[in-house]
Amino acid sequence: MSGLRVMWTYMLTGLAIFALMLLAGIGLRASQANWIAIDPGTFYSILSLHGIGMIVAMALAGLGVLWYLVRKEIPELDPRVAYMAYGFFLAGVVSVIVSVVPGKYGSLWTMLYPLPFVGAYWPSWATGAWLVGNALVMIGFMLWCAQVLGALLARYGGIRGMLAIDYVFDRRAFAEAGRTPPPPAMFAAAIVSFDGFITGTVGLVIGTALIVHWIDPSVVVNPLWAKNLTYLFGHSFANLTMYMAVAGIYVGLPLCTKREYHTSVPLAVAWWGTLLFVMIAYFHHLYMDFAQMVWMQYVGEISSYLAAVPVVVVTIYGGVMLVHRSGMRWSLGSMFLYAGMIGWVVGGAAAVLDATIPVNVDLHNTLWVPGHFHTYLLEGVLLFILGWVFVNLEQRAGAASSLPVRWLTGIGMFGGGSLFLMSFYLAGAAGVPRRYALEPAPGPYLAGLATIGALAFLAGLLVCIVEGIRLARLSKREALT
Amino acid sequence: MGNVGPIFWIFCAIAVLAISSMVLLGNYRNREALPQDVVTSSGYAIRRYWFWAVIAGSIAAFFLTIPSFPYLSAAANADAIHFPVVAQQYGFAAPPVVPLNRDVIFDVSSKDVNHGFGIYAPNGAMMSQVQAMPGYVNHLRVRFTVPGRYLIRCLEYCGIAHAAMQGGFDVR
Amino acid sequence: MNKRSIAAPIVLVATVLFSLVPLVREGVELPVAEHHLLHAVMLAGAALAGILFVGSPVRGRPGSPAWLLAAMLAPLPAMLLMWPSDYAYLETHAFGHVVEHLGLVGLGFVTGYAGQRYANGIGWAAGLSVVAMAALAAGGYGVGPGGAANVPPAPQAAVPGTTAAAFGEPHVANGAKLFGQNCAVCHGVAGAGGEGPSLRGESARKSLVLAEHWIANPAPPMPKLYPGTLSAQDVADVAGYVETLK
Repeated sequence: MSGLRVMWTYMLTGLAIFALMLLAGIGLRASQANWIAIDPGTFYSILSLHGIGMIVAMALAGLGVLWYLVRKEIPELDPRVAYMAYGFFLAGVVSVIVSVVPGKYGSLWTMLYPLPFVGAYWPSWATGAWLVGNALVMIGFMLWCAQVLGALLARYGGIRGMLAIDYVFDRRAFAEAGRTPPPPAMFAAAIVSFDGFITGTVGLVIGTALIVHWIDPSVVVNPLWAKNLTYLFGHSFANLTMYMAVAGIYVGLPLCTKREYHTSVPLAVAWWGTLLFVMIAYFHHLYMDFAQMVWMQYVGEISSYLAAVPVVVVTIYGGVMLVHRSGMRWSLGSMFLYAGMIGWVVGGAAAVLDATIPVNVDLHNTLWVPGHFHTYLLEGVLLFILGWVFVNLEQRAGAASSLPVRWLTGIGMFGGGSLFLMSFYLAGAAGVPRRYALEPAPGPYLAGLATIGALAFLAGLLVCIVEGIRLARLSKREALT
Repeated sequence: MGNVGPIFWIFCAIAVLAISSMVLLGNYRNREALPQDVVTSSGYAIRRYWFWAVIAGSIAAFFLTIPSFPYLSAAANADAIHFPVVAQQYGFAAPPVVPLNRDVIFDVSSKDVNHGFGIYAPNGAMMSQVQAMPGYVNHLRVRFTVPGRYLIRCLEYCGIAHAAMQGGFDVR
Repeated sequence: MNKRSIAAPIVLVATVLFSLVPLVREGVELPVAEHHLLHAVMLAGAALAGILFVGSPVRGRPGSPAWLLAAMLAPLPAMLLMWPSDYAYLETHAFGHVVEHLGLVGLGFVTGYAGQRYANGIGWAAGLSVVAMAALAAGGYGVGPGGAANVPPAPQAAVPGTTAAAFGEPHVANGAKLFGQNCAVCHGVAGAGGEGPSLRGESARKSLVLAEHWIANPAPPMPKLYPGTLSAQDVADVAGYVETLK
């Protein structure tokens, strides 16, 4: 029971932050379209909040789902630790909000040292509040990861058992010993908590270095080192939100299709690949830093490519196989889960193209970059989370959504969403740089299209929220009767 | 759109292919449901080929792209002309004129924070770019074949006037 | 007495002895990176000792959340103890240096011990984490870029023709609009000032010609918007507007 409470606490907090950040994002695009006037200082402050807010929102929601699923397998998981971690997350969020409003911090969420210390148009305390807020979020994240990691190690027998190493290398002996491998969602939990722990560690190193420099500017920091750590932390943290949310697919799709999804050797090996490639793909953020050691660039490209393999060969392929000719009823839950897989593939295609170094020369730091990660987040992670929410609501209410509701939601969130995303890709292909408060042509025109698309997305989302409330009310009534 | 036009169309093609194939595969309407093991037996067989195709494609793409990497060897530096470029909040100190039809290497650095040295051709298309980092020098080799006025834009967020940070040079 | 219970105090004593080295080698100046790495070794020994002291826990449930909190928080003061600008001072003050080292040993020990008390394996995870933090620090925390800081001298940009005639007759209304779009962000609304200086009364400091010249060829951090964002006529218009500011 308290597993559900933790899940809803995390998920609803995450979705609430997402909704606020969505409004901020629409404002930013409208400003770039020159439809509303936001001065550059305020623009960059809002953009800073929007960036970190969205990532933390998705992380909170995904961590909530994963925690619930781990607790179903491992009842000893203590909710107090989950709430302790949640408390740190929330404290971090408050500190970050204070740094932006009223602090006017505007150095963006993947800031590169010597930013935010040079050319700051906001007071120094805002920098401190931002950095401390980030550190608090990292501590919360590490608490979550350590709890789940400890639980998985205990339940499945160390790293060997958690990663099903014996199962992969000698299935027969494994089965004869009467052992069973961890279920698929536990692989997601294992990779998230293991890689997450490393990610948090790295985040705390760069965070501490920046906080120390903030207090004592005589402390030198190497900018190339800082950029490496910033992206090792930032890329991995953002990427892991997808692997948190994918647990919703592993459990939600079998529920919807009334088919089974088991751990297999390909699944285990695919997750081993993810475990490694998520961490070493981050080099692709430094392709244009020619000062990097060249071998890192090579590793970045090949691992960015190979990171896609477990996804397209096992997870997405398996998800499509589950749905194919299954007689599954389309509801908001199943629709979102399936559409999220499509979004993941499209965003992945854009990402893999940008991760190709000769292409990156043209696309690096253009609007193509937000194009691909908005695809991942809006039409991937968010849809997995919403899909999971609706599968749960539909089960509890014993009801599904009507065809008109599904169409309205779909047109808004997929149609409007596609328009919003295409604007980024077109602008990026046209060379419009990212993070420009005032964009050169054809930026503003495309930003106008994006704003329309985003408003349509918002409309679809509102329909879906209303429908969600309706289903929740219905399930309360169901529970009482 | 310059060099990146074909990439955009490739992306659109992949996106359309992915969306349509996944929608078709997922749509069960007018088709009878099948038991799971029937789907998986043919699914797993196809997946074997799919896996090897993806792996082979990834490795092939990797090796095919290596010759176009912008990272210079010392030998490549030998007979090109060097031009220093220094970025700082909020402008570029760049050479006013760059020769046409010759290998040119920009030695790019920064005086304060990270900036991006982005070269835009006279027709507005992005030509090339490299990061400008304080404490380091990045060497970008370019060969200009079209004369005219080239614009420099900053491609790494550097502060409040990031969007206004520009420079330029003539190629002739 | 098993191997673990013998190893635990040996590792701890060895680590503490290692941390006392400044007492016998006072005044040695180490590069900051190397110093960080030595601290990483110290943290490794201390964390290992902490892990070994817990022994082999045989239990189904995890320990109290307080242990987890301790294990996750202890690395942070350890990073603060490794404050790079203090190293020069500490290297000449052996006693303070040893106190700092013992602090690191204590925090490393807590990390490993508390982690293992929380759950089997977490002591290792937290211990590896704190060691990794100290080791990563060697790459850039208090450590600048190597010899690569040879920033080439800024080339002298040729000054394009900047006579008043080159810019045309100023149109103040258009200048006001352009000012709002491009200049107010730093110079404030109506030139009131902000990140950039106030432009009120600028006509007393610069004539129209000088204002046009400055806009066309500013010194950093003012962005150079001509001839990119602003045309020659735009420069004249903005300069004309600025000249009207009181």
